[in-house]
Amino acid sequence: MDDAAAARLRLSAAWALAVAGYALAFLVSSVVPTPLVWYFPLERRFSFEVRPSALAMDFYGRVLLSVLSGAVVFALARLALRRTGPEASRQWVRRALAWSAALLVFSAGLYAFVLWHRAVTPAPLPEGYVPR
Amino acid sequence: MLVLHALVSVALAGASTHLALVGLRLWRGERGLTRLARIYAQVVAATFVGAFALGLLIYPTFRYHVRGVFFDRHEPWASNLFDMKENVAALGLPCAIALFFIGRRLEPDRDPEIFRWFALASVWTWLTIAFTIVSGLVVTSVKSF
Repeated sequence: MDDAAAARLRLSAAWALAVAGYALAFLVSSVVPTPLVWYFPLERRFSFEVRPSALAMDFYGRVLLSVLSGAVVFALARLALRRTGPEASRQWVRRALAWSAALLVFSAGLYAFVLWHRAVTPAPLPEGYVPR
Repeated sequence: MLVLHALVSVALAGASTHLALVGLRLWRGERGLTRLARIYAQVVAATFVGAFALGLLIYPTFRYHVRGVFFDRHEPWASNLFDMKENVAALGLPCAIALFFIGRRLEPDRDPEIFRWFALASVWTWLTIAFTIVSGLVVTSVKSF
């Protein structure tokens, strides 16, 4: 195997690990109370907290946390796999692939289950609102 | 912006379906399709990030004016389906970005391990896109303002 092929394997292993890191952060921040960046659409402001006090969205914060986690895992994997041989890189691709597949499928299934059974609380109607 | 989001999503649906089919044919040994797989991987990554970013921009308006005021009150199932859609889309994002970088230098004959990873990422990305688009159509078909 030439150097270019070994480098491609290392890069693929790092990407597979980054996907696993992203999925792990997404899952953990969903099941464990985690401080996140929340956006308050009515007040048009951001806040960093575990539970918001008014109508707010955690999606920006959760995606940001997951992207940052994936980026950190990618950087660490690139450093750790710098001198790894092709066989070890191949094994890392396999392991990371299994972990990322399990985490992605489990997270999607968990969200589907939880949201299917969620009872939503409507936001108060704005003053003077006339329903159509 | 919602129309632009929908148009980019249509391009994404086409590119990801082609990529998944090309990936399956490559898996079966049709090696002449490697260049096409590389191109579709780039298009899928670009359109996924574009559609996702546009979705993020229109989300605050939806969160209050559509979901908060209407869906949560009259069609709670649509609120839940929309949240499923956004979270499934977020779980497709890392694979779509990885496809861009892995797909650029894909050589299925020389790197079967990388190709397996590429093919699975393509299929997962396609699944998330298919769910996102179908549920998005269902949610937007609900009577609203």
